[in-house]
Amino acid sequence: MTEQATRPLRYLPTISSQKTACWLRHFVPLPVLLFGGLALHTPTVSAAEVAIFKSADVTYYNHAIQAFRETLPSNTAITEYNFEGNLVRGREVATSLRAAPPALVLAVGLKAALVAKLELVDTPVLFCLVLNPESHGLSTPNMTGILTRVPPGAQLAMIQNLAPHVRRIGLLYDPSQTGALVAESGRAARNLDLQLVAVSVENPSDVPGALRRVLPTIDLFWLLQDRTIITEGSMEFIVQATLEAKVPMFGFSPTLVQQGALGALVINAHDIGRQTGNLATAILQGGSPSRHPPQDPAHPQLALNLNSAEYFGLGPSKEILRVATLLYGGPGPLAQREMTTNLIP
Amino acid sequence: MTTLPTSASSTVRLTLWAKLVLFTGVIVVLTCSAQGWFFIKEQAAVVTNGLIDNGVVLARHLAAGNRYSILVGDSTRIREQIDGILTIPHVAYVVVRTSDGLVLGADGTGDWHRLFVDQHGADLLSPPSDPLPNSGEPVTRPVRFDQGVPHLVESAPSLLSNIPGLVLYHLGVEVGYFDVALPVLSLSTVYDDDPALSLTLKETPDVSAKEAGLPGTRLGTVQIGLSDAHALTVLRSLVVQVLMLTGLTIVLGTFGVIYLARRITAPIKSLTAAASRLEAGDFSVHSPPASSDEIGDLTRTFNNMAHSIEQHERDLRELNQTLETRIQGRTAELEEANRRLQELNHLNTALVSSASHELRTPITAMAVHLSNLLAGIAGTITPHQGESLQRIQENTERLRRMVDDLLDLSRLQGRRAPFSPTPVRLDRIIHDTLLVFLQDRTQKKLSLQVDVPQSLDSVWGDGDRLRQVFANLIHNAIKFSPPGGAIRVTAIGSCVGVTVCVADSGCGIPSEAMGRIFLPFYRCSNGPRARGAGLGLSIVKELVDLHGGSVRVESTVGTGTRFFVDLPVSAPSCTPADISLISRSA
Repeated sequence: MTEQATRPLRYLPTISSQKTACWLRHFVPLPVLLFGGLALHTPTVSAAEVAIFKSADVTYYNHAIQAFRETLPSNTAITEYNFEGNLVRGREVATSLRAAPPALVLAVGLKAALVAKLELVDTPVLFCLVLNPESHGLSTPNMTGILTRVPPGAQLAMIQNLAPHVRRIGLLYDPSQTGALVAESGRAARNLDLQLVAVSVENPSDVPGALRRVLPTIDLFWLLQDRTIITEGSMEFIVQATLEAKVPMFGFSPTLVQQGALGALVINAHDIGRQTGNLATAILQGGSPSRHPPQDPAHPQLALNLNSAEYFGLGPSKEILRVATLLYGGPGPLAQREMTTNLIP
Repeated sequence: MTTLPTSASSTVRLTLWAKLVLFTGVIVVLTCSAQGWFFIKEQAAVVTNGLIDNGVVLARHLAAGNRYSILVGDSTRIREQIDGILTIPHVAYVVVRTSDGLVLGADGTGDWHRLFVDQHGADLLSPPSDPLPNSGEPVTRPVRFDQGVPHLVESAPSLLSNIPGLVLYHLGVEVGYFDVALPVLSLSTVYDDDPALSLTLKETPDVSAKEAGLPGTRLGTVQIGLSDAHALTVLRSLVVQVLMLTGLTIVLGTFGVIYLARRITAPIKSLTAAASRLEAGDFSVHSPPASSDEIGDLTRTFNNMAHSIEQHERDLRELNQTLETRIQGRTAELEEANRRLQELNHLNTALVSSASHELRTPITAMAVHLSNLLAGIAGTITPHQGESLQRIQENTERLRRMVDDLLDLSRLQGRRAPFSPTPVRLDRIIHDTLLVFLQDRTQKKLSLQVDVPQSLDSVWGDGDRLRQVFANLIHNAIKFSPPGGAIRVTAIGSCVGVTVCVADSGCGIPSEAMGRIFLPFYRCSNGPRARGAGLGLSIVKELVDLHGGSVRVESTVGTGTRFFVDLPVSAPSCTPADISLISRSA
């Protein structure tokens, strides 16, 4: 995955050029795939029924579903069910499908995945946009999907490329949520000759104190997708604390990068949907979910705040700038604070 | 001289100048005072709102920057932030507490600092009507700080009540505080383009699970106390400036009003003086117009009016002089004509008198000779000659009476008739006169009714003349009464005179002839053709006038005529003129 994250990408410095790149990325391979498919004479996918379980009517769910639909063969019959956040209603829908189950079920979101897990035992189920599927027991034989988290090794490699001087990387985590991830991260860090300073936090109220303690001892703060650490209120606090301590932060969210974090490897709902569609096509062609373990996001994007990089004394290489898909250069919301004018990236 | 018109029974007379100055001055004072007060009130509200808005901004800033610290109870960071906020001059205290009321940080300046040494001080500032609404809007209340103990006051914050203290600065102004309490709400941001962050923040399998920090949930409260000392200083400076400006405006306005009132009343006074001179008759008065406004128009109109009156007065004077001249001329002409008429009348009377006198002598001679002839002294005459002579004698007698009457009338009109007044008894005169005409009355078989009491008072007159008066009246009555008619003679006495009435049953006198029957030679045309020259009634009137009496007539055509003779009673002390006056008044 590190190779994928660091694979050469076109440097698109402007929004229009980014749109152009996206268009090229989406449509240039189409004729290639078309003619290639004809030449190889691959067996066609017969008309199949696919059911989509949607947890709620959320924008990024819809984006993922749209990309999924675009990826499937055109003769696929797709039926979409919106649970509107109601688990009970979802289970009723799933129960009604038992008599004539579809060939495949796409579960978008945690609730949809839980419904599929509980009600559809034999039907192949793909899930996507689920934060921690393993913690919810979504590893049954008929289920697989696309993970939402970029592998820690890829993130650490990107951190190393972005800030070569960093050796001590600090992080806060709740063992009940991201303990396994931290263990995996520790192994990846050791492989990259990095020292991981992991501080466990079991209560959100302990975050400020833990963060104050760890910031003076580290070179970079790595923010994990931990629901104990990340809350609506703590985001701004964490960004502000790292800026005040002049410790760069690397995370997973373009929003945080926009607010002052140094960078992040972020996922895109379209990419996730498209990747899920490819996996579904493979399963519909005769594959089995058990033979397709959950996949990491295939195309994480690098978000980079150039002002933060300058503020922390980092000069991103040209290669990094070419790789970075999301570049932010304007001041974040903290720029309005007079007391911290000199801290503003 | 002329007196100014005064209002009836007015004890205090206000001049127009005084009224203008008083009323306009009052309006100026009231207007300036009201404007000053409203301006001060508005500025007090602006200063108050500015102070509160400043506190709200600080509270929002503190809340926004410490939302997570409040949520997790990060008192260390909150105290740091409070210390920063307290460096702002007008911030008196800052209290940050959780939604459960736990104080995360509280500190203040001055006396407030001692108050927040322990939790108790912050508890004193807990809003009495807690909890605050979850709308995110701040609640501002005044705080009274008495003897080191704060009290939240449930009223609208305002600096208006401090205005009197600001004006009377030496009495001191109590520094007040405003408490701005702002609920700290959790965020409700949506990250549609950031699925990783959204899933991290919001993904939960249980829809009923209650999560801390749900959007719109109140996390805590930020309270900021604002001291109004600085605002009061600003407001005091403003109030003093407004008061000075208002006073200056009032003074200048008053002077302006006085000047304006003088400008208005001066031409009116001048006009009044000119009108007084005009009233006194000085038509040459002229008041110069002082302005081109309505008063100037009034002055010009007055001048035009005075000029017109002067012109009319001059015309009237000239017309009067012309009339006087013409009247004098006409009067002179009339006097001249009257004089000539009197001369002519005198000549006429003299002529008649002379002619009558001259005619009387030959008539008398003719009568003597006729008597001699009829007596046969000049020889025997035949019967036929005797009859002719008899007729000549009768006509001569008539001519002699006519000449006598003419002579009497001319004498009476010329005031040359002999008049010897003495007390006369009318009853005797009337009876004597009736005896004279007894034969004539008997010939015409006229009945006679006489009612003349012997008790009548004597009248002052000439007996012969009075006999002539009644002889003429009775003669006329007999002459104009038809045969078999009736004659009535009555007399009534009173304290002032005697009225004698001679009535006949003749043909009467037409109304159109009533005014001319006493003129000489006038004879009615409706009556029987009787002999006479028409001088009898003229002589009666002249004689009665000579006695100071009067004669009047009442007549009905076809029925008869009544003559009334009013004569005054005898009065030795009275002259005939006096008697005449008394008789006329009666």
